[in-house]
Amino acid sequence: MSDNATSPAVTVVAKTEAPIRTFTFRFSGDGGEFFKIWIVNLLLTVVTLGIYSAWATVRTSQYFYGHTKLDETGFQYLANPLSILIGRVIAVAIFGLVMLAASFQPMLYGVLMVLAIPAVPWLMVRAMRFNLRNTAYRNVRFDFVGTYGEAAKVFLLYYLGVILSLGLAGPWWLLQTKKFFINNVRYGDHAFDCSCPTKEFYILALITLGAIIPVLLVTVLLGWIPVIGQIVIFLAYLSIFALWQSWVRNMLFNHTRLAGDVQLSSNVTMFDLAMLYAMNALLVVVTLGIALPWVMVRTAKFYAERTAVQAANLDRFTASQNQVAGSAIGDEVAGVFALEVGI
Amino acid sequence: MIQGYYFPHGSSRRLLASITVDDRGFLRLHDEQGALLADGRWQQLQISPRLGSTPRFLDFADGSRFETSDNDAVDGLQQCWRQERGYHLLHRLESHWRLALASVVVVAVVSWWFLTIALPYAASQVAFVLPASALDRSAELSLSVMERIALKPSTLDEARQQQLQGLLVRLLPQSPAYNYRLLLRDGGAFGANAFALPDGTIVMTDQLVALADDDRQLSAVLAHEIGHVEARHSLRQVLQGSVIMVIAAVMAGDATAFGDLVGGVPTAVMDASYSRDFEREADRYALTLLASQGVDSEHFAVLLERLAASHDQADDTDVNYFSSHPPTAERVAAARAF
Ligand SMILES: [Zn+2]
Repeated sequence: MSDNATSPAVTVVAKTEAPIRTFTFRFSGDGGEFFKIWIVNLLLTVVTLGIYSAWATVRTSQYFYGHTKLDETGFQYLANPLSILIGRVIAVAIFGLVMLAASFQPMLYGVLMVLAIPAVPWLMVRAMRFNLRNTAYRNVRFDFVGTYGEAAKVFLLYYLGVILSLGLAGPWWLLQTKKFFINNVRYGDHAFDCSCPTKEFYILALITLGAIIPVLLVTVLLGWIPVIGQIVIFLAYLSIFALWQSWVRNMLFNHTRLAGDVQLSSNVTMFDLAMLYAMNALLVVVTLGIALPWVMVRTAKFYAERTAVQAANLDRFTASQNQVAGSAIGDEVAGVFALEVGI
Repeated sequence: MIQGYYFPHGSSRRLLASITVDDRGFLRLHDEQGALLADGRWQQLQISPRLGSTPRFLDFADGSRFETSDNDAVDGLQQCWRQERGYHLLHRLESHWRLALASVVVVAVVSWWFLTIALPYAASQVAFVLPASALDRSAELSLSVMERIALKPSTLDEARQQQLQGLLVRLLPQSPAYNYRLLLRDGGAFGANAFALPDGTIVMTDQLVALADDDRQLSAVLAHEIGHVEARHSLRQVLQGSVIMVIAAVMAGDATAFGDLVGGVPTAVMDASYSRDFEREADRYALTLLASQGVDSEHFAVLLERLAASHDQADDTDVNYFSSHPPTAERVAAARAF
């Protein structure tokens, strides 16, 4: 929790003269309902040889956005399936050609991979922009204003620094990437601002490294036991992953504000997150993937319940610029190359 | 009357509001106090499609928006004033359990058909359209990588090497379409092994030669490797693998939460399954070729058993014999039954 949330009277109320309220996110979707949408998506995608997949993506996103509610109003996903389809066709063509080049002309493949490096920041910026411009809440669109230059600086130049420092700059760099993504998000005319101190990322990195030691010990001691040993090891690594993920999420949210005084907050605990991952993995494996829709819904519920916004009211955000949607090409190419663009 | 929220253009301001539509399709939007906020024709609204119980968004021409969870009321008015058959049908599809369960079966059957029949068939058709030299570059590269990491010059004497070269020549067709050549090498970490590169290069290790007590067993191995080359298995594997990878990548990009889980496992499973099919095909080719030269299929069976035994002794990894193979017992049984 930030200082601000615990003593709002000093900083915020003076300006707005209204009491600060906590608005908690709520996910109102239902696993069974989404299963039917999901399976029809799959069916039509298979029957149309993949063409419907663009519509499937849009319907899935609309379902999850629409059911994600803040103060009883849903979010909106506005992307046009047709532009996603075009982007996807291009991405599949490029990806397929690169795959074939890897087999037929290994040298050319190497050259392509080197040429692809400067394209990575571009893909990330485009993907963020496409997704955010197609997201709205209360009739106000989000946007992403990060530039290629900034992205190249953070992901290429700074990354070089990480290598030169033999990884010591790693936590600092990670925070820079997160800040690049958060601080360039706009909601209407308003900016998000993440003020997470670098120190906290280093503390987290040390704690995570410290936690890996007992896990390695467990691996050595129990690794030989056939089934139980493997399950214990899986859970141990899962816990480390959950520790890192939950902590990073909480830290970033709790240090992020919108428009200067709207405080975001997240309280995901490591144990809850590890349980979520473990249950999800179990459900998907046991049902051979049929439970995926339920898994997606319970994951959305999980995060929604643990995310909140503290503000006097949500009525005051303006959107004066004319906002236009970006092209899908960057987004889809980025998606196909499986670049995780997550905050 | 439809209850919901009204969002005027240009800000996040939200007002409780309701819409009424008269019998000529003209709508009025009032706030709680009954003040008129917007009006117009229902047909001119942009309405988000029905999607389960997600809220509907009704967009006015001036950029303002109305949100409601009263899906049935919106659908009723839509049917009255505007026919949007596509999305209406989609919603009907998406709201039936029996249909959903039938879809599971259809998806499973079609996917199975595509992966096991359609894709291998298409790949084999394409593979024989492409020039035979398509994979020459990568054959050179994989050979040079293997020479660097494991293979060493053969320790067999010149006379023995000539004998083995003779084995290959006797098996080849009249005018071979590939530049067949046999390379004898000390296998190093590969142990007793043989593999074919797509350009017709067949590599056999000293350890494999030592394993055989009859040259007809080695002929059987060479026939199997020729089978891989003639059927263009490497090329087909590349084509099939690329399609699987692309599908997996699109799926991964789609299923945000579980991308890696969804993408990675099936790719590996399908690759292994395809290479098992290719092994069976190469075995059949070898047995036919051997039979045409009067070599008993028992020699093939014996060598397979010896190979399996030698690899069990060395270590337990299955990757030694180039790639994923069907169980030895099955292959031996097939050879003996031939
Ligand atoms: Zn083989």
